[in-house]
Amino acid sequence: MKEDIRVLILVMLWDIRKLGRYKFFLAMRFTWFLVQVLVFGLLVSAMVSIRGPGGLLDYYKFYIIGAYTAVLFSISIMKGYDIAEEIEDGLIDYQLSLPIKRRVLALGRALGGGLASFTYSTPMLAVTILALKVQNPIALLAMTLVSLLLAVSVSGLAVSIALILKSGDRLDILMGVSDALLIRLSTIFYPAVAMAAVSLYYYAAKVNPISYAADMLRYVAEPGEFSGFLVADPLIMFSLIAGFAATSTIASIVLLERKIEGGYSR
Amino acid sequence: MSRVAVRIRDFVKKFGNVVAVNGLNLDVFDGEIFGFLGPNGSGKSTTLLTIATVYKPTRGDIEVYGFSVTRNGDAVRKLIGIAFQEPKALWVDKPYELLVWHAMVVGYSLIDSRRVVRDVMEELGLWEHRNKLFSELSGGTRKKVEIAKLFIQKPKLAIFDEPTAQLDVTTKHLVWSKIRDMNREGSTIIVATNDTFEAERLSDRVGIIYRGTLKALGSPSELKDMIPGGDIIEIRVEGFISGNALRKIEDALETKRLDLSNGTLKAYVNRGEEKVALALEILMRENVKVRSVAVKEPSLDEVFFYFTGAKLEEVRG
Repeated sequence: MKEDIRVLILVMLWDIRKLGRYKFFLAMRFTWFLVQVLVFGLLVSAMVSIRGPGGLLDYYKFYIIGAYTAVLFSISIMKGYDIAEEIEDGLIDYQLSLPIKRRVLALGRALGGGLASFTYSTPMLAVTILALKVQNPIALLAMTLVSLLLAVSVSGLAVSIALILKSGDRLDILMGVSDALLIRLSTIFYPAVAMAAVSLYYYAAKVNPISYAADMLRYVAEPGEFSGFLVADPLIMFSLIAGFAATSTIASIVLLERKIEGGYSR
Repeated sequence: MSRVAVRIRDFVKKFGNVVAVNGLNLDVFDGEIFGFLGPNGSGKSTTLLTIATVYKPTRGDIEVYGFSVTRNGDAVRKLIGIAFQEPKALWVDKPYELLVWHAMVVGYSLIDSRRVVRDVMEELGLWEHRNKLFSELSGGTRKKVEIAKLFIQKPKLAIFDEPTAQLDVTTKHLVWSKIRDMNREGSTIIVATNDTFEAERLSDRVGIIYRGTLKALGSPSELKDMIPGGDIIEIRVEGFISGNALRKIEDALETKRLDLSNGTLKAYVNRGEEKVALALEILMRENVKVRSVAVKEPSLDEVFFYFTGAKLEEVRG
């Protein structure tokens, strides 16, 4: 067990040590996020007015948290591309040959990927916290936890998909479609109460784990502000996010342990 | 050398409709250096990657020290290490960081990792490249980083896939010497190569694989002896050799062919080194003056062509 934990940390370090690789990418993301917060957020909130059971929604705050969730999702999805690159370069073959239990390898990659993605997103989280003026330490901790859970879930999912597809091109298409669908069919930019006008849209958002992550972040950041606009009860939201994280991590463990072998599919 | 390190039974590996390995049966013994000889695409790497648990057999099984690669993968991975044909690193990796990470994963503490990595990097002439990006390294240097992983790890079963491809002559000899050292220190070694010289130089036994099937197995000299009439006893003589003398030589040496031209007698035989004395004895009894004698054995290249039935063009292709 002690040895497994030691190796798990080393596997996680594999992803974390690559933090410096995407300096330019992160700088671009951060700049774009600032533009969203400082320009688009203000413009859109001047145009959008949503009234719910709890009164008028502060759409600016709603939008910023949505934008942060979308960025975190996109960064975590990038883990899939990392894995695809590693498959093409044969690094997955290398890792599969190392004296590491498959489940430790899968868990390490999912957790390491999630932790790395979360770390990438921390400048954006900091901007979100500053823009919302969140000062409560418990709220800060809860936001961190929810962000981390989302990053681990999406990274685990992206790792699993990349391992199944074994092809950067196929992954590119699938991730593009998933990104478009999961972000749009969620409560990232519009609250569930507003989406109820189109039932298909509404029910898709209701089963989308990204909706729960975005709304959970809203709930912990401003508990009173968004009541009546959330997709579900906070306890249910948290359970579903934790469940999503556990499911995607277990899925990548099962895949790696039972199905996955090396090689690259062109 | 009797304990079996790797037992391969009815091993078949398919990728879609392509059969990479077709019914391979082979034992590699504990403590030996086994050469896996075959051209590109013959199934060597597929077999090695399956031993290393990277691939799963389509049919059959492989055991490493009694542990099945399909059922006891975790146990197998504790015993093996592989240096891949293509170096495995990201372009942004730095050799020192990569090797320290590798050393720690295979069980060294951080302090020991740094020490052993430095030692091996210095021995292989890699130390000056330790902090360069992988993308900045030459092909040969990248290959040395890949091989360094096994010299650090020293596994019970070390698998080298084309270990000296891309290396200069001096480094080749250094790597061969270090592989032999590893073997002396207790590692069983499997070397996949398409270089017959390397196979002969390093291996206790050689398996020739071609188009996914094992074609021949034995020590390099046993393989050479398996070619009927493969050895040539070449004797330069002075004067006339009678038909009677030639017949006696033919019978005594059990030649496959006997040529005499321009004072040179060529006898195509098996185990030429054992029969040369007999040939000389007959010639001396017949009062034939011998000027020089040479025994030529076939090269491993010729052995390869003989057992595979391959044409040079085919192998190149």
